[in-house]
Amino acid sequence: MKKIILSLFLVGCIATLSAQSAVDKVFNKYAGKDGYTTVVINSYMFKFLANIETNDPEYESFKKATSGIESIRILTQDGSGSPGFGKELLAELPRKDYEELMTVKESDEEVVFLIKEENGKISEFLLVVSSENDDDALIVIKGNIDLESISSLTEGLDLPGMQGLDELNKK
Amino acid sequence: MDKLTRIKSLLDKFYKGDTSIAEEKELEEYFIHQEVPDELAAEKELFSSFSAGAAPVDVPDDLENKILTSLDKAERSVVRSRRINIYSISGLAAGLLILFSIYMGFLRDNSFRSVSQYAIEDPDLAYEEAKSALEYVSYKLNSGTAELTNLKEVNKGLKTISSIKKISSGSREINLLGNLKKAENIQRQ
Repeated sequence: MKKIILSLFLVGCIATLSAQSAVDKVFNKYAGKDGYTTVVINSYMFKFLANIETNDPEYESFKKATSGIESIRILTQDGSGSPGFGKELLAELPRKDYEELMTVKESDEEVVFLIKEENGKISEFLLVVSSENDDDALIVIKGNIDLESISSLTEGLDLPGMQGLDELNKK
Repeated sequence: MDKLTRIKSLLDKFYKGDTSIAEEKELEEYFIHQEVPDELAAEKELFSSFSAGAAPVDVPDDLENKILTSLDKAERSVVRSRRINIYSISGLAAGLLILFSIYMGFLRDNSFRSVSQYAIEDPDLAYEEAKSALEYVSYKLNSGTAELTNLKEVNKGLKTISSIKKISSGSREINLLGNLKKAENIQRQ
């Protein structure tokens, strides 16, 4: 009887522990494998970067956008990974734990924005790109996230596709 | 004095179980009939009880059984209580160890360490990576919301429709006027 209780208890502990942070699990699954690239930037680095003083307006806007961010994790594949990587990501991530901010579906690409909200502030931001051109990516941002200052980062930047946006606005 | 040392050596032999029957008799004789120094008082008692025990005592038939069963009981209970202690303590220790190792193994090793080993430690590179990641996010966000600008066009369309509505409401009033004229005509007739 005791053994049964003990083993049940242990199984429960393992289950709860393994259920914790499915995002971590996804990163663990692909990190270090051939064809995948993992990039992690931690809060210490952001603190360090925030202390650098420059007159560069671009850097200032970067500092503003990252002021509340604790970590950024990026998972991409360079073409030699599994072809349905983005779809795998979408299937593996616990979508019900997040709120869907936005989904953009195009002919060859699906972009899903997921957020976790705490006290009216975005505490976790997930960008999942499922593409047919091996542009699949997962970007996870944690911390106190200011989407407005992030989205203003590319305003006035010359990124491919941005001209199209400007033209749209002029119409 | 000489006798005493001999007795002592005999006693040593006796306790080792090496004495012959004759020697034991000798010891018995000595302790019964002689005055004994204090150091051998215990032995005197022992040997006098031997000679007294020459008269046999009635032994109950089940004495041996009783002793054996009580011994058994005592032994078993001691063993059991010890076993329970060892089991529960070792079980507890094992459980704690397993929990601890799961905690360390699962939480630290897998999720924490293995991912954070990819943490960038070069600030320049971190800046570049963070910037490009955020710009990518920003770009994707903006391209999503840009679609909303199409809604503006729809709005414009709606405005023109609403001005048409005004025209139609105006034309309704004209209709009413027409009706009035008809009524006037009828009155004149």
